[in-house]
Amino acid sequence: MSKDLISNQKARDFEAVLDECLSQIDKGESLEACVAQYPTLAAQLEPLLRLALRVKALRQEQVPSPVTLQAARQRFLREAAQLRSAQLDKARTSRVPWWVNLQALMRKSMAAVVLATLLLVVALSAGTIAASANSLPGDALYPVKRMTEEVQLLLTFDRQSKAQLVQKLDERRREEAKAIASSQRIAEMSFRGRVDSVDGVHWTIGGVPVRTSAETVIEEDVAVGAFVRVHLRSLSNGTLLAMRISVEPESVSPEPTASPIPTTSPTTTPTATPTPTEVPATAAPIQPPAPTSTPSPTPTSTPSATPSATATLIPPTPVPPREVKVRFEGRIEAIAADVWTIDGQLVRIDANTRIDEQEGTAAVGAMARVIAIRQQDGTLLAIEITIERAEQTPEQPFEFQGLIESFSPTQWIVGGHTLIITEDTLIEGTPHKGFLAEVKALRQSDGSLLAVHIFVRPPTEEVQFEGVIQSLGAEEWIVDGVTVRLDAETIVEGTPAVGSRVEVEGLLLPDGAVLARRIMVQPLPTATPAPMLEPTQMPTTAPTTAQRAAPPGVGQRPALRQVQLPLLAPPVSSTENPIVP
Amino acid sequence: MQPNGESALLERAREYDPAAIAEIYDRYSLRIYNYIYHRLGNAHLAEDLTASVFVRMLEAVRSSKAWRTSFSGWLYRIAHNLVVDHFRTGQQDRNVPLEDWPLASGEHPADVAERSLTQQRLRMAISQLTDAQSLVITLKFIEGMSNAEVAALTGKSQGAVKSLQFRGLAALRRLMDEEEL
Repeated sequence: MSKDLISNQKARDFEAVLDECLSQIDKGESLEACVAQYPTLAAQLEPLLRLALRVKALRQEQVPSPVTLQAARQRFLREAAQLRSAQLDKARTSRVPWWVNLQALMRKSMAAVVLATLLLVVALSAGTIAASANSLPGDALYPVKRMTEEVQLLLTFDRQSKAQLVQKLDERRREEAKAIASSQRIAEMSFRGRVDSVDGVHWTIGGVPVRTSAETVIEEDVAVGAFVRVHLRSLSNGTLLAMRISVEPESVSPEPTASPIPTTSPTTTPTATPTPTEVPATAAPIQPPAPTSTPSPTPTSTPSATPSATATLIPPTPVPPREVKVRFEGRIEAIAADVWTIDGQLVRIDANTRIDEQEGTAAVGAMARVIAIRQQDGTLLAIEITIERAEQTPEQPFEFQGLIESFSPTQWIVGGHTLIITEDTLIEGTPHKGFLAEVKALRQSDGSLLAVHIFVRPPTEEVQFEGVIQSLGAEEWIVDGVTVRLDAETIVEGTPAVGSRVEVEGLLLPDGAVLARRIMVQPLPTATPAPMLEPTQMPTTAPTTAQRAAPPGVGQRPALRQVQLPLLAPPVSSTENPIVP
Repeated sequence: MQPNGESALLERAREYDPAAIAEIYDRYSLRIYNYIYHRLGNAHLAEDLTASVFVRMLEAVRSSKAWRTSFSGWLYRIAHNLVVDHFRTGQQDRNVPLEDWPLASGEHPADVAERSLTQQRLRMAISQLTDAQSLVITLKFIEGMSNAEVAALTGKSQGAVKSLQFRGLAALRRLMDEEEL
C-alpha cells in the first residue's frame, strides 16, 4: 500500500471508515478484505466490525409469529372507541340543546314544561323510545330515555304512584352505574341512594361500590344511612369515582301546597352546608316552582292522617336548585375547545369565563386557580381561571458528552453544563479534569440538570515528550506550551523548577492537555554536580503521590518523541442528545 | 418527516377515528413487535410490550407535541423506552425457557443454549448503552435500516448516526469484554 494511501487513510475520519466497511460488508465484501484496506486501523476496526456482525446475527433469528397481536388489536380498538365516546360526550354535554336540558326545562313555567314535553313525546317515535330503554350514559339514545322518564313523571299525578316511580327510577340509575362499571366504559352520571358502608375511600351507596379520592367533594356530614346523591365518573378499569356526594332529602315535596312550610318566599333554596371549598354562589337564585301551578290550592286539602309521609314526593333527577361556587387549584391536564381538565375535574369554559394569563400561558401543565359554578347537573362552569404558574416542564431526559471541567461531591461541570450530583447518581470511572464524560441527566423543571449516570471515559492515547517547564502550578504545569496536569497518581522524579528540562509521560486528554503519569526532571546544567536522582515529592501534589527512583539513563531517552495524535479525538465541546418522549 | 398520507391519517387518529386507529395499528404493530422481540428475545413479552406501545400512543395521540418529526420514530422510541425500562427494573429472566430456544435442525441443544445465552448477554449489553446509541445500533444492525432511514427516524443527521454507531459499538465492545472477563 502506498504511503499516500496510508496518509489519506489516517486523515479519514474513523467513523466514516467504520461506516464504509459496514456498508461494504452489507454488499457482500468479507470483513477481512475490508480491514485489509485500512491496515493501520485494523486493530481498532476489526473488533468493532466483528461485534457489529454479532449484533446483526440477532436479526437472523426467526421471529416467532405473534399470537396475541390480533387480540390486542381488538382491545386497542375498543379502548380507542371508548376514548372517542368520552370525547363525544364532552362535546355533547357542552352543546346540549335547550329542549333537551330537562333541568332547564324545570326552571321554566310548569305550563311550558307540560307543553314542551308533550310536544317531545309526540315528536319522538315509539320505536326510538323503545330502543332507548336499554341505553346507558354515553349512548346516543340515553337522553331520549331520560326525557321519556321525565315525561312519565310529569304525567303521573297520583302521589303514591309517583313515589313508586321515583324509587324505580332511582333503582334504574343505580343499575346503570353498575352496568357502566362492569362494561368498563368511561362516562359521567349521577344516582341517589342510601350510604350502606364507608370503608376509607371505598363506599357503597345503594348497593353500588363507589370510590372516593382526595378530590371528591363531600358536602355536609355524610354518615352511613344518609340518603345521598353521588355524581361520579367511571374509569376504564371499572372504578366508579365519586366527584361529589351530597346529602339529599330522600323525598321532598315538589308541590308547595303539600308542604307544611308556607310558600311565601320564592327565594328560599335548600341550604345544605357546603364544604369549605364551596361557597354559595352570588348568582341569581333559582326560582322554585310557582305555587299557583300546583293542583292543590289549599293546605287543608292534604289528608291529615299522613301529614309528612305522603306529602313528600320528588322527581328523581333534578337536584334541588343549588348552585355553589367552587374554588380549587390544580394542574391543567387537558385543554379542549370548551372543556378543560384541571386537577382531574372537567371544567366548562364559555364566553363569559375570564382567563387571567398574567403569570403564565394557559397550557397543559400550567397551575391554575379556578372559580367555577357547580351547576345543577354537576358540571363546573368556570367563571375565572387564573394561571398561577406557567407550564411545569416534566423532567426531560438529557444526554450528552463533554469534557469534565470540574467536579466535587455535589456538582460537576461537564461540557459547560452544571450537573447536580446526588447519592443516586451512578458514576462509572474516576473523574479527572479534561476527561471525556458521557452523561445521562434529567432536566428538572427549574432547568437544572440532575445527573443520573456519568460514564467517565479515560483517555487511552499515551504520549511522551521532552520540554522546558514554563510554569509550575499545584495541578497544572506548562511544558513547552503543553498543559500538563498532575494528579495523585503522577510520579515526579527530581525537583522541578521553571526552566528545568523534563521528560513527560502521560495520557493525551481530549482537550489537548496531557495527564502526566510520570515526569522526570533532568538536572539543570548549571546546578551542582550532585545528582538529584532521589525522588522528591512535589509539595503541591497530593500526599499520596507515588514516588520512585528515576531509572538510570534518563537523560538518554529520545527527545521530543510525540506519539501519534489520536484519530478518534472526541469533540471538545459537548454533544447533546435530548431524548423524546 | 411523514410518509405520504400519514399526516392525514394521524390527524384523523387525533379524533380517535376508528379506521385511522386501526390502520396505524396494522401498519406499525408488526414492525414494533419485531423490534421488541429482537431486543428481548421473548415473544410473549414482545407481544405485551407491543400492546403497551399502542396504548401509550393512544394516550398521547391527541397531544400535538407528542412527536416532532417522525411518527414511526416516536413509536420506536416508546418501544425502546419500554425495553430499557424492562431491563432496568430487572424484570428480565436470564434463564431463557427451553421451549423458547429456536432449534435449527441438526443443532445440538447445548450449542443452541450457548448461542441463546450469548445473544441474551448481547441484548443486555445493548440495553446498557446510552439511549441514543442503543436506538441507533438496534435500528441499524437489527432492523437493518440504512443510515438515512435511521437518521429520519431519530431526527438526527447521518453524520450523527455514524458517530453514534461508532460510539455505540465501542461502548458495546467494552461492555461485552467486561461481561466475558
